[in-house]
Amino acid sequence: MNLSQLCADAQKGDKKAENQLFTKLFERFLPIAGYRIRNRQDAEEVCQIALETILAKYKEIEFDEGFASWAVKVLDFKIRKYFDKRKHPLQDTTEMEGIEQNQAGLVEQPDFKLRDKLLECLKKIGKRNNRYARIIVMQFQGYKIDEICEKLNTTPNNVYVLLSRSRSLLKQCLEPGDTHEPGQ
Amino acid sequence: MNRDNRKEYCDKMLHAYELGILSDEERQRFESHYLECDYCYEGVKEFESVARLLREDKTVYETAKSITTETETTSGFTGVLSKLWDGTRKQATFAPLAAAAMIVLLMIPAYLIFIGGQQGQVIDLWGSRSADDTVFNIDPGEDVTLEFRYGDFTPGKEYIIEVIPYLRESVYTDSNFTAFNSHFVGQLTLSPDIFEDGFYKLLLSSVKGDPLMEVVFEVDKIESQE
Ligand SMILES: [Zn+2]
Repeated sequence: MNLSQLCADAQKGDKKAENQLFTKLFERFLPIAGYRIRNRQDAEEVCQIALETILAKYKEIEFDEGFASWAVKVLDFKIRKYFDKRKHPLQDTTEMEGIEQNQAGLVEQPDFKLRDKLLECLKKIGKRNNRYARIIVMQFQGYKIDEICEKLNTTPNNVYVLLSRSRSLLKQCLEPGDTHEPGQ
Repeated sequence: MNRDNRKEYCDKMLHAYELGILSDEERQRFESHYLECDYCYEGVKEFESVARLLREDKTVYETAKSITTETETTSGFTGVLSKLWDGTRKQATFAPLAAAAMIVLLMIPAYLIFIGGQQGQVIDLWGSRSADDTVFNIDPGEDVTLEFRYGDFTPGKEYIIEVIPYLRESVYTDSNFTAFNSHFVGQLTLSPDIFEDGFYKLLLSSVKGDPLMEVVFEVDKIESQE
């Protein structure tokens, strides 16, 4: 069942639906938070805090653009608050107090085997499609889609298509036992 | 959105999302979709470790950069921060500043700093992170512009900006710095006279004095062309 349906049922008092809704939300929030908060434990806690807010409010709120969109905004707000607390430790962000904020000190070690394979694949794909390598460089440099299009003199749609194709090649190349040479 | 259109949208947006290049608005739109979409959720989950490496791993950056520089002209200088990552300088005389820079680097997402333009005598403080062994040459006859990016700046808000030589007092302070353009790029133009050969730190703080970002760079003054 999709989120909106679960939400609608939960709003009517269906406890089972509510359980399913929050389990699903937690599961799907994690990668979102994990992308922006490098420490996994912190990411989990921020998700938990976002879910508490959603749980407290979802029955009374009228969603302008649907439940999912509202839920994402709540999470986004909590992630920003987490970073605010790091930048301004004295500011009142009471709900973030339990979080140790390990990010500056504790960065997880990369999976070296995966990394070696990825570098190999990146070379294969990047040499055949220089633009993909350029996009990887630009994203490191903080460029967003509009600026990337400007630099590559192309449209967002072309960039998305190029990325989609590169991702498939990357995935293919990363599969165990791959001897595949990605084509153009 | 019908099924085919939806799949097309998923495939198109997934990698752009994973690389973190979407605008805030586009990112939120994708995330709302992803909450409801099993295909995207599985995709994101499956590629999580790879995407993380693509976004954050220094060797990935270096590899991609080396592919691109085979066909492109590289910028005229490179610098010290990748050495700090490698720890080569960290062991030597540079240790305290290196440690501080490391901490700040870990605290600041990569999107806060980027390459600016290359016109005139510009010290491009993303470029300084991009390669080893080169210092920025300064012509003593020309003003120097430091270019850096701070993605969280608020238009109209004032910041404190300082230029601090290694282990010495700051040689330049502006407590009302506002010179950011709409691409979050800050530009600070200085007289070349304030620089000598050596390491410098550019420090941006809030008006209350909370440090927001810092970048380390190395300067070598050349003989004047005049
Ligand atoms: Zn999807």
